[in-house]
Amino acid sequence: MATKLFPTQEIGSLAKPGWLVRATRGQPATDADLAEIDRWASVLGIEGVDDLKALLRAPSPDRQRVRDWAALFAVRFLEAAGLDVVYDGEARRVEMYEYAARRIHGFRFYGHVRSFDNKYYRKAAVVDRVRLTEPFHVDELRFVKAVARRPVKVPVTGPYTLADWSFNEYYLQAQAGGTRDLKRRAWEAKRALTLDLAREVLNPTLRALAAAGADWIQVDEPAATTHADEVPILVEAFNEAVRDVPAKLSIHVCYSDYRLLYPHILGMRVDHLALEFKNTGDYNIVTIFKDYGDTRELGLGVVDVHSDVIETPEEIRDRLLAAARVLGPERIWANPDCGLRTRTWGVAFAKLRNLVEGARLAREAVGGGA
Amino acid sequence: MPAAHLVGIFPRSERVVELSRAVDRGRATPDELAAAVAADERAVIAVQQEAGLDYVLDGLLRWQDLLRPIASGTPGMAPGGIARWFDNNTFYRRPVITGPLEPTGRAVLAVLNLPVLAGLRWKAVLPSPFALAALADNQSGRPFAQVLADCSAVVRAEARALVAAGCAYVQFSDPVLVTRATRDDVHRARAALEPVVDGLGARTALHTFFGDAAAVLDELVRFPVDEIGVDLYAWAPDGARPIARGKTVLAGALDGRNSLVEDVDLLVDQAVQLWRAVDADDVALVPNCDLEFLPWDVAVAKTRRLGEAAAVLRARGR
Repeated sequence: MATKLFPTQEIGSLAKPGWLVRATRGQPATDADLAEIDRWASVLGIEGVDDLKALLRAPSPDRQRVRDWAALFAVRFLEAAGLDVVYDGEARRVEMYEYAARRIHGFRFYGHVRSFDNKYYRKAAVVDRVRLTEPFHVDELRFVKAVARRPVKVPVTGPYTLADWSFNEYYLQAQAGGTRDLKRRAWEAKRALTLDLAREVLNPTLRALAAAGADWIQVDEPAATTHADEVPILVEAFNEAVRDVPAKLSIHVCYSDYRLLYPHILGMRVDHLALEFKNTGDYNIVTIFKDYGDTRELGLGVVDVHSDVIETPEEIRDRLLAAARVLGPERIWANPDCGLRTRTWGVAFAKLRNLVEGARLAREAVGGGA
Repeated sequence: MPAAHLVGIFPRSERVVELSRAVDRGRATPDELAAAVAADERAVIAVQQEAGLDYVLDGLLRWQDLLRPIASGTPGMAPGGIARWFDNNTFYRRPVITGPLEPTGRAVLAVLNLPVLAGLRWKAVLPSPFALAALADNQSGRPFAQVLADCSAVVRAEARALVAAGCAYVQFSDPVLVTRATRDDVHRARAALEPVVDGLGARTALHTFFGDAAAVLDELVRFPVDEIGVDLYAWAPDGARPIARGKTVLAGALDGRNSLVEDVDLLVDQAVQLWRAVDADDVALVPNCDLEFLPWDVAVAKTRRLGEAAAVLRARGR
């Protein structure tokens, strides 16, 4: 894989199958769920699904076993799409923020806040100094490593995003008595929280993942550029989180102004940046890597995760080649903009198949083999 | 005499969150949701009254975002795609302008609970004409100056209708001026607001938030409004010049984006510091922004704290 041009990866989440959602809620599977299991088992070559269906018919299904099945389906889904690096579609995680926050001492959930319209999310407050209760994702990784037939990359929500998406009470109170400048106080409190998350929570988690066999860890930081003056905190915290972690390391950022990352991100100890581009259509931004002499791998988002329109292989090829003309083909990876959790499996599968085919066409075009 | 009031959208209660989701999924009726929203509007008003606030809002609970009532209720524009709401993990629907805008004076009244405000001293919140124009997606092919003039006429009609309905105080919200505007933009924004407030017959305010007001404060105090609001979590008034004589300053010292309920001393100290620094005639204690970024219970607690701090501030004076 190291010498393959335009390798392909997924970013993280897939939609949760209806049968997983219902089992998690303690509800029985529907006939449509069972038909969906048969259909995808056939497409993905998964055997023994009668056991899963029997499990789902039980009055109170064993949720752990159902989640194992969901993870297996997701791994095979990504493999069947042809991706070079796979994971489990985050099948066991409720979502990227709440899953982690519920496993860290110091967070307390108060209630819902609005995202937009009638969409809401549960937002936690940090009410005590954060510390890890137990490393998370380790069992999840072991399961994926046991069943995967391709190399594995484990995604983990990063310290800056966990901090940015939370109310910061404890660390703000700790700043009381300092400056009267509320803006400065909030910045200092944000830094203290983010660094504690990096050192006390993420670092032991990432080390545990590496010890469990993680070859590649992706740190998800969608909030990276939310506050331009906090990008230095993002970089400092990332470096603390990955200290002495013997694995390939990448960062995923999306729906952000990447110009704000520079020059600070040049000091980040990361091997690969996986970024969204398709949504904005602003591929010219890849020149920023050249302008700043950033020679690390770039995961190029060439698939829109918020649209059912299936990108053609030729369009994907052209995007990859355009980036390769600026940066050279050796360090360009192909990926969706973000996790595909908002698309149906049918749409996601078609998008990923075309992603793989587009990368193959790009390889062919530069004479790197098919 | 220092005052205190809220400045924008109040969060929805857990009951309304649950019902609004249920309506979207066909598991509850719009009537059930409307009844729950009306109950919350009464509760929000009661909280403000109990806290001794000087003006009350109905909570703007029917607003999906600051621009939505006007975007939905004005011919020539419509809500469009989702865009990030400044530096928040929150989004708004960007109004899409497709042609000349037709002022109606009915867009905001359509989402206002007038009966619960009857007999009270209530305030209204509108986007400034400049914020409305700057945050919209202009697909009309018309120049920005023309769109801004249209937005001015639209907001003017809405403001007049609100005052005619009994509104005592109209606040024009504008986060753009302190986050991404040039000085020329500030001049355009002032010119667009002038016809809106001219002869309006209510107290008026321009409230800025999410950004540092330092660079434009000398221009903001020249806006034709009675009161100017600043976000004290984005700007520290240390060293500010005494330029606000003749104005009331809205001290945005209650943080609408953090759940930690502030100490009374901090709120009072921040208000006095601002009041003295800019040498304003008067000060009002307000949240820096909408409280919609908080869960309901926290917003209620913060509103009560605002009232407590205002009482101390009134007793202490400048």
